[in-house]
Amino acid sequence: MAFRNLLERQRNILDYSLQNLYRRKEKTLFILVIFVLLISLISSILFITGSLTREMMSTVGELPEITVQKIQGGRQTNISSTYLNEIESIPGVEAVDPRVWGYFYLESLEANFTIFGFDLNTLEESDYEKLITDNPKFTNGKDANNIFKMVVGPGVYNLFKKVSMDDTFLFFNPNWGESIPIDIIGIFKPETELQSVDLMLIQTEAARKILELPANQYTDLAVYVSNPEEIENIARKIKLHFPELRTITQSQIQSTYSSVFGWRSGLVLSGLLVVIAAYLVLIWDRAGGLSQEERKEIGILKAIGWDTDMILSVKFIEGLLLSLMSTILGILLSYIHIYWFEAVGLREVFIGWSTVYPSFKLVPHIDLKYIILILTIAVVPYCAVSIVPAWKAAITDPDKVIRNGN
Amino acid sequence: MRYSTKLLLIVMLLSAGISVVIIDVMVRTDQFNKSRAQNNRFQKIVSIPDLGITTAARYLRHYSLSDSTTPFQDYPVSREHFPAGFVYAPPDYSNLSGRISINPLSKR
Repeated sequence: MAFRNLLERQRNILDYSLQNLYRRKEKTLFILVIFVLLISLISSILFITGSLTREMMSTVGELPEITVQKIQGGRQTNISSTYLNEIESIPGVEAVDPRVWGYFYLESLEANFTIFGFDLNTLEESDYEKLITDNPKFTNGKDANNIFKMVVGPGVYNLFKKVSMDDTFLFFNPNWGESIPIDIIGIFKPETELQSVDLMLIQTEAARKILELPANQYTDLAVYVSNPEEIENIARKIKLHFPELRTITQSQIQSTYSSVFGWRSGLVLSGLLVVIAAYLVLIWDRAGGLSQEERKEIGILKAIGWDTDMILSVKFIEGLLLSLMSTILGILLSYIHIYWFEAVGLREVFIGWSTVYPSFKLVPHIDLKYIILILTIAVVPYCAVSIVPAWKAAITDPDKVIRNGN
Repeated sequence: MRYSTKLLLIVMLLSAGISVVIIDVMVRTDQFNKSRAQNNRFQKIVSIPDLGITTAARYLRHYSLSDSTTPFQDYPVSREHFPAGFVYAPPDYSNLSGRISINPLSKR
C-alpha cells in the first residue's frame, strides 16, 4: 500500500512537470527543436566519419605490406626498374610488384579517373564472377574489337553511358598523334563501389601509354613481406640503402585511417565547435535564472505546502525529460539521415568538386562510447542547470518571492 | 488522459524507433560482412588504398599515399583550396627522415 502511495505521488509529480512543460509549449518546443538539431548535427558527423573509417579499415589488411615511392624535389616521381632486384634481394621480402597507375583527367566531362595497370588475363574466373559484371555491349569480352580492354568502376561507366561511350572509350591527348581505343569489357559490381567508383582497370601496356610512362619506369613498388614482424625492419633497410625512396607501411596507412576523422579534421572540429558554442548558450540561458512567472509559481507552491525537494524534483524531471528525449530523437534522426537518406547535405562536403563519386550506402558504425558521451554531455549539465535556479527560488521566503518575484 | 499516460505513449514510440534502428544496424552489418570477402578480393587485385569518396584531387583520392608536400600544392604556404580537403586530417608522415618546418626567411 505504502509503495502504491509512493508511486502515485511520483506520478503526480511527473504529471505536474509535464503539465508545466505543456503550459509553456512555445518555449518547450523551441528548446526541443534546438536541442534535437544540435544532437543530430554532432551524431551525424560521428556516424558518417565512423562508417567511413570502418569501410577503410575493413580492407587495409589486403594492402601490400610496404609501398615504395621515389621522392624527387619533395614530390613523388616515377621509380626506375633498377630498384626492383635490389629490394627483392633484401632478406624477408617475398615479392616486389612494380605498379603502373595514375590519373586521367577528362576535360570534356570535368572528371578525374584513376587508372590502374593490370594484366586482365591473370584474373581468375572466380574473381571475374564475384567482382565484375559483363558489359552488355560485349558478351564475355570475347567479341571486343580492339587490342586493349578495360574493366571500369560503376561511376565511370555511368558517366560514359551519358556520352554514349559505354562500349569503347577513346583516350586522346594532342601529344600522342593518335587516339587509344579501349573496349570496356566489364563493370565492377556495385558492392565495391566505394573503392572502385572512379577506377579503370586497364591492361598494363595501355595504361603505360596513357600515363606516358617511359619503359623501365613504374609509378611505385608494392613490396610484400610474409613475416609481419619484419615489415618495419625491411622498410628501414630500404630507406637506409636508398635515401631517395619513401616507404609507407600497412600500419602507417592504418594509423592514417584511425586519425583521419579525428578531432583535428576540419569537419569534426568545426561541427564540434558549433555544437559546443550553441549548447553553451542554451545552458547559459537556462542557468541565468527563472522568469518572474516561474519564480512566483515556486513561491505559491511553497506557500501551499510543497517541500523544497518536491519542487526540485519537478524541475529535475522537466530538465531530464526535455534533454533525454531530444537526445534520443536527435540520434534517431541522424541515423535516418546518414543511413536511410545516404547523408544528403553532408555527403556533398566529402564529395567536394568531384564529378565521379559513389553513393553513400555506408555500413552503420555506432560506437556505444560516443552514444554514452553524447547522452552524458547533453543530459547531465542541462538537468543541473535546471535545478540550481529553482533551488535558489525555493529556499527564499515564499512571501518575498510572490511579492517581488525574486 | 493523464499527462503521464501520454508520456508513456511517447516513450513507447521512441522505444519502437530505437528497436527499428537496432534491427536496421544488424541487417546492414550482416550485408557488409557478406560483401567483405568481395571487397577484400578487390583490394588484393587493385593494391592501391583509399575510398573514392572524393576524386577532386589526387592527394584526396589517395591521400594515404600522398607525399608530404602535395597537400600544399606548389609551395608550402599555399592554402588548401579543394573543399573536400577540409574534411581530412593530415596523413601519418611519421617515418619521414626529417620534420617539415616553415620558418620565416632569414635576412641576408
